Formats: sequence, C-alpha cells, structure tokens
Amino acid sequence: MDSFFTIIVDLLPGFWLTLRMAAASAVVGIPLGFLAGLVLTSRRKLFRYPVIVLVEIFRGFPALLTLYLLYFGLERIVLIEMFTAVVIAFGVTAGAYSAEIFRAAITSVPRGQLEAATALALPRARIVWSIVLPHVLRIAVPPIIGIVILVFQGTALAYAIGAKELLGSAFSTGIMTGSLFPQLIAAAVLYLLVTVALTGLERVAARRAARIAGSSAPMTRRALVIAET
Amino acid sequence: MSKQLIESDPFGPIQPGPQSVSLSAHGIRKSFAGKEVLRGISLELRQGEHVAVIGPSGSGKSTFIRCLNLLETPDEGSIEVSGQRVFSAGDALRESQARALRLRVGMVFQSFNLFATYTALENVSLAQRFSLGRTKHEADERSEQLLRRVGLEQHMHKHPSQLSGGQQQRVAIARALALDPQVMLFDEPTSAADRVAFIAEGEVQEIGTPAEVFGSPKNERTRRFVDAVSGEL
Amino acid sequence: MQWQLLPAAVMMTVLIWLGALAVSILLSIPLTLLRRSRFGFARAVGAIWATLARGIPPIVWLILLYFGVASGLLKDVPAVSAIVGLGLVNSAYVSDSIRAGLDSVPTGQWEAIRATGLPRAVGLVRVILPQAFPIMLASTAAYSITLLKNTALASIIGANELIFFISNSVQQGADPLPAFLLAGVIYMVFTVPVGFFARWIEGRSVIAMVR
Repeated sequence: MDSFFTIIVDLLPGFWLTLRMAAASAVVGIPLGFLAGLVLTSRRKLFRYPVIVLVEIFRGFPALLTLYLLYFGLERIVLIEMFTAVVIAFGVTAGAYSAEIFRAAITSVPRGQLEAATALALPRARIVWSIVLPHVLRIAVPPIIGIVILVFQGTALAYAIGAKELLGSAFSTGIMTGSLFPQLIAAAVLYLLVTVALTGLERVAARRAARIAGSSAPMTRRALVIAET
Repeated sequence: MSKQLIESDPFGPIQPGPQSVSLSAHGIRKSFAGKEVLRGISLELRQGEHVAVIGPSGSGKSTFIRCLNLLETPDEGSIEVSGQRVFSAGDALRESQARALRLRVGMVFQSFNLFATYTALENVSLAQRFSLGRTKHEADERSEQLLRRVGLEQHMHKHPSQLSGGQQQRVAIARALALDPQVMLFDEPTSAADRVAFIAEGEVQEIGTPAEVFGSPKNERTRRFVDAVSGEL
Repeated sequence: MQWQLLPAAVMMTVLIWLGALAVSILLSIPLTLLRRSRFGFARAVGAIWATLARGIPPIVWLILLYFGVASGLLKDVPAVSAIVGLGLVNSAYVSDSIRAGLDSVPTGQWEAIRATGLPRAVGLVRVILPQAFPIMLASTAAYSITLLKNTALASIIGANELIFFISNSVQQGADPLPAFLLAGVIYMVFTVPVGFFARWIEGRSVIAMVR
C-alpha cells in the first residue's frame, strides 16, 4: 500500500488542473457578475430585465446541467473542448450568483455618504471611484469568497465529462490500482484543506468589512445568504 | 447666535452698510409629491453672520438648507452667492454649476456622513484633491492643520467607526472647512451636542442631553420655551 | 426520446431531493445540539462534522459512499448513496439555519422565560421557536434549492433521475440542445417558486422583527 504521502504527490497534477479550472472560472465569472450587478441597479427596465432572466436561468440550472449543455448540448453546432466548457459553465454560474451579491452591495452604500460627497462638489466619476467602489469591495468580498469556494468544489464535476482533475485522477487511479478508498480520501483531504483556508479568509474579510463599513454590513448578510442560493 | 425668523416674503429694506452679502435666496418654493413644503422663502446672509434657522418639526428647515447647496432643487426661486446668480429655477442646471456653488457653500450634516472607508485625515483631504485640485501634499498639510485646530491631532489616522460622535462632528466640520467655503450650513447641529444647557435670567434652568432638554424638559420654564419655539402654544 | 419515462425520472429527482432534505433536517438536530453544547468536546465534534460536510464537495461524498464505502444498500441503489450523501452535506446548512433562527430572537425573550419561571423546554417550544421559525424556514428553503440542483450529481453515480434520463436520451440520438434545455426548464419549475417562497418568508420575518 502506497504511503499517504505518495498518494498525495501522485494526485498533484490533477489538483493543479482543478486549481487552474477554478481560478479561470472565477476570473471569468466574478467580473461578469459585477457587470450584471451594476446593470441590476439601473432604473431602466430595458437593461435590467434581460439580465434578470439570464441570472435566474443560470441560478436555476444545476451547474452540471450547464456544463453538459455546453459540452454535449452544443455538439451539433460547435465543439467546445473540455477546459473551455468547464470555465464557461462555471464562469456564468459564478456570475449569476455574484450578480445579486454585487447588486446588494452597490445599493447598500449609505446614502448619506453619497450626499456628503455631492455636497463637497466631488465629480460624479470620482464619487463612484472613491466612495462607491471601496464600500462595494469591502462588503462584497466575503460572500464572493463564498462563491469562489463553490466554484472550486464545483470543478469536481468536470470528472463527469472525463477531465483528469483531482476527483477524476483519484477515481481512475483508484480503480486501476484497486485502492479507490484511499485515493478518494486523499482527494477529499485536498479539497478540505483549500476550502478551510478559503473559509478562514472569508471570515477575516467579513470582520474587516463589518469594522469599516459599519452597521450596513450585518443587515445584508442574511439577505446575501438567501441570494447565494 | 443671532436669531432671525424666516418670513414668507422678501423682508424689508436691506440694511445699508459695508457688509457684503455672502448668500441670498429669493422666493424658494419646493414641493414633494404634490405637497408644498417651501412656500416662497427668501433669506439673505451677510458676511460674518450666523443665522439659526429654527422652527417646528416638519416646517421645512432641513429642506430649505438643502436647497441652499442644491442637494434639493427648488421648483421656483433663485440663489446668489456674493452677488453672482448661481441658480435660477427653470434654467437647466449643469453639474458644473452645482459643483461651483457647492465649493462656496459648505455643509455639515446632522449625521456627519463621514466616509467610512477612509481615515479622518483622508476624509478631510479627499475633496481638496478632487474638487479643488490641490496636490496630495498640500491637501494633507491643510487637513492636518484643520484637524489640529479642532483638537483631533491624535485621531487623524483613525476611521470614523473608531471615533466618538463629538469627534466625528469635528471631522465633518474640518472636512467642510477644508474647501474654504464662503458660507457654512449646519443641519441640526445641537442634536449631536453631548449636552445642552438652557439659561434664562442669568441662571442655568436645565442641563442635559438634547433629547432630554428638547424632548422632555423637566423645568417649567424650559418647557414653555421649547413649546413656544416649536409652535405648540 | 422515450417521453413516457420522463415522469419517472422527474419523480426520482423529487424523491432524492425530499429524501435528502428529510435526512438533513433529521441530522441537523443532533448537529445543532452538539455545536451549542456546554461541553467543549461536543462542540469540537460538531465543528468537525460541519467542516467535513461543507469542506468536501458533494460529488466526492457521493462517490465515497457509492464506490468507496460500498456496503449494503449504499452499494446497490445509487439513489440511497445520493440521499445519504446530500443529506449529510445539507445537514450542516440546515444546522446553520436553525442557529440563525435562534440567534435572531432577541435575548430579552430568554430572560423573560427565566424571569416568569417558565420551564426551559416549554419556553423553547412556545416562545422561542415561533419567533425563530420564519427565519429557519426561509434559510432552509433557500438551501433546499441548492439541494434540488445537487440531485443532478446522482446521475454521475447512476441514479435514474432527470439528468441521467436526459443524458441517456441524448446518447440514444435525441437532439442534445433542446433536451438539456428541457431539463433546465423542469428544474426551474421547482427552483423559481421555492426561491420566491424563501424570499417572501424572509421579507415577512423582517417586518415581524422590526415590529
């Protein structure tokens, strides 16, 4: 029986693929979510409604379904290769979830500070850059880290389309060498470590947000939980 | 503080004299959702004057003050700063016009509205840099000066959440003064005072928090004064 | 596509969903008691349980139970592994919902219970729970949406639920795009109303608290 250490080392290439998939999906999805959230704060129904529909669709579809849709569903129209399909599928899913988070964060900027900025003759663009954005970032970062955790765990689904990421390599190695259980445990440990680390980060960010942004932060937390699901 | 009551039509002959007029508002009218809140208010502020706007709650005091720096746009009326017309209801208002007015008319809010993500120093410097165009160095120097003057030297690098109410008010005042305005507007400044003392006939009649003294005065004389001012009698 | 098999597949999805929901609610009670226990050891066990439930991706749990543990029903019926695995994962979230609900009740209520001499158990059931319930319900409903979507994972271990049925149909020649879109619509038929329900309850509970 291989030592636990060897098992982990053999899983590293798969782990690396997982990390790359997760990072790429987050990089695609979160800015997308920010733009969507921005549009959701607009007063023009013409802009808001299409975004609302798209957000509801990608929040309503299971991520696995979105993945299948892109990888198999579009087969007859365009062939998308594995990594791209994963990144697009999890990117839009992450975007759909984070849209609501950013929308709530943008609307939670205390009106009084915006009025003060106006009374100080600050130009509109400067108000957005120096007052709105810092507030949004501090408030949105903790739940966005939550989304990143979901994306990271989601990449395990790529196993279903045959990707050799962490779960995929653990499974195939396990089947081949008859040591499925230890392989799966090792993979589970790696997922656990990253998740725990990210959760810790999320808590630190949440404390900072509450400290600086004041009382508006806790009120949005519960609404964000509802929004995240 | 000198007291001047707001009248609903332009008041009598303007006192002749060397004092120049810093700010004047004529015939300000404002309605919200069909309800007329300001019915033609005019006011002249002379240089060096402090004018206290008092009245019952709901009388439109806050609305009027907010019209003076165009946080609310009057439906009718005009505003002049140092003799120059800066606002006329009916003319389209450009953002640059409004900003020019706000550089001359500073405001301290009832709830201070300090920028939560910045330190006290940064709060005071921000508008200096991006509204007036001063360099970071100039702005910070002036901010330090002002904060020192209001006794907040030790607290310059703290965030608003780390400051007491009184300290926050001082930062808010410094922040407004930093733009060297010609007029300063204070919205409900006494509600932030730690304590209020009511003095009549050379004696302190009552002393307590603003809520106590204005809301539920214990002394008969205080109560009569508060009632008279708020129009209950 | 063999349309006549679709209802059975949807039924299986709903079965796994409600089964896992029931399991998670059942498991959440001991978990919450552990996490709020006076004993440090119990709290540690609770913390480890919650961390494992949330730290390991649901699909990994399912595969661990179906292929790894692979004994008895877990090995024979994929749906059972799905129900147990998803139920375990969701138990941590339902436990969070319970805690959120309990924490939302003003501490004055607990003091009032003690002050009026009401027994703790009675006070819990008759005073605290009615106030905590709307929040617990809204939160649990919100998490159950994620749970429903996670039932799709059961297809990977071979349970004959919706995604499994659709994938098979596609493999047998059905047009993939409309097939997958249909599956999506069916999921949304469930998730959108439950989502509205969760937000409605939450809205009402906020009003209740402000009052």
